[in-house]
Amino acid sequence: MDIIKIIGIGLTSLIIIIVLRQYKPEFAVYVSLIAGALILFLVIDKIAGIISLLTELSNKSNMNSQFLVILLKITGIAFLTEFAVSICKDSGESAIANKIDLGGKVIIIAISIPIISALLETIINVLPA
Amino acid sequence: MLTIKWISLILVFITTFFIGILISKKYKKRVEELNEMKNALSIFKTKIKYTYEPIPEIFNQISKISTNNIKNIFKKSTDNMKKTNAGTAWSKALDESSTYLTYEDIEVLKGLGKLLGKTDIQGQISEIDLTSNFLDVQIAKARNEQDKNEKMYKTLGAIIGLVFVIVLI
Amino acid sequence: MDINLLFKIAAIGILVAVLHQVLVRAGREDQAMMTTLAGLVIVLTMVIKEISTLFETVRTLFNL
Repeated sequence: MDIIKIIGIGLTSLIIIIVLRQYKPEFAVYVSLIAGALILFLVIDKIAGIISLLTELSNKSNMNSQFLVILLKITGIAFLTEFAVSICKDSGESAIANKIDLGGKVIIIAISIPIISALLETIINVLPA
Repeated sequence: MLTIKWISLILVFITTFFIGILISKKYKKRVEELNEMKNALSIFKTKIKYTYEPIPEIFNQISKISTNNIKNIFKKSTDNMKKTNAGTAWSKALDESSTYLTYEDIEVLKGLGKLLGKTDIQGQISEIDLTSNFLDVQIAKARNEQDKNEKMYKTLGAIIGLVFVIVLI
Repeated sequence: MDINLLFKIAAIGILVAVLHQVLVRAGREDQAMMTTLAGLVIVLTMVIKEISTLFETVRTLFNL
């Protein structure tokens, strides 16, 4: 029944924001921040389950666990940047939102360098010399 | 533990609410006292004009028909007049009694004391008229301030209490 | 962390709005501004705590 909770939080915060925006737009931003954080908190328990499943699978299949860690990191970064970007966009600051987006992308690429280099190595190995 | 918390929150709210009411009352009381002072002065004027009673006697009578703080002022100045002359007694009484009047009002009223018991009846009556005209100006000012501030302080007290409670919940 | 925080912020926002109105009506614009600022700071302190817990949770979860 978590989806009902999420929808409830979303709709309640929506109404609060609509009411508040008429009087004090500054407080509406806070409400949307907290609503986003609340929904993320509700979802995070499920994500923990998914992650444990993934690690279990990778252990069973003797995959390189380093890659999985990087993959998880990328997901986490994407999570947080998305959170920040959507709040910036909601407050009408798309310039800052774009910068955060850019930062997130650059950091994701920087983190995934081992994967890219491993991929390139594999390709070189496969290609006939 | 939870009941203690709630009770203390309610107490916080009640306290700020009453502080607001107390402050707002100051403005209402000031207008009332100024009006009463003006009435007292007009009584004083008629008594001086027609009955020729001595000032302490008139003040004593006025103190009997006035209420609270104004009563105290006249009573004190009657008492003081036994020791000093009328003018100093009057300004001393104004200084000593605690009222809702502002410093400005007190200064206007003290202007009356300068000539009290020093000139003839005509001079005193014109002096009383003058003071009562000044009082009219002060009353208008006080009314203005009352309109502006009375409601504000009431709402302010209640809302600040509510904010405290909500933050502390 | 629960939905109560949302209502709390909403209530503080509305009350600050009313305070602002009352003070502006009474001709005290500078004080109205101060109350708005104080309200914002109070809510910010409440929000910051939650955001930091959120970030901490995400960090430990994805071992960033």
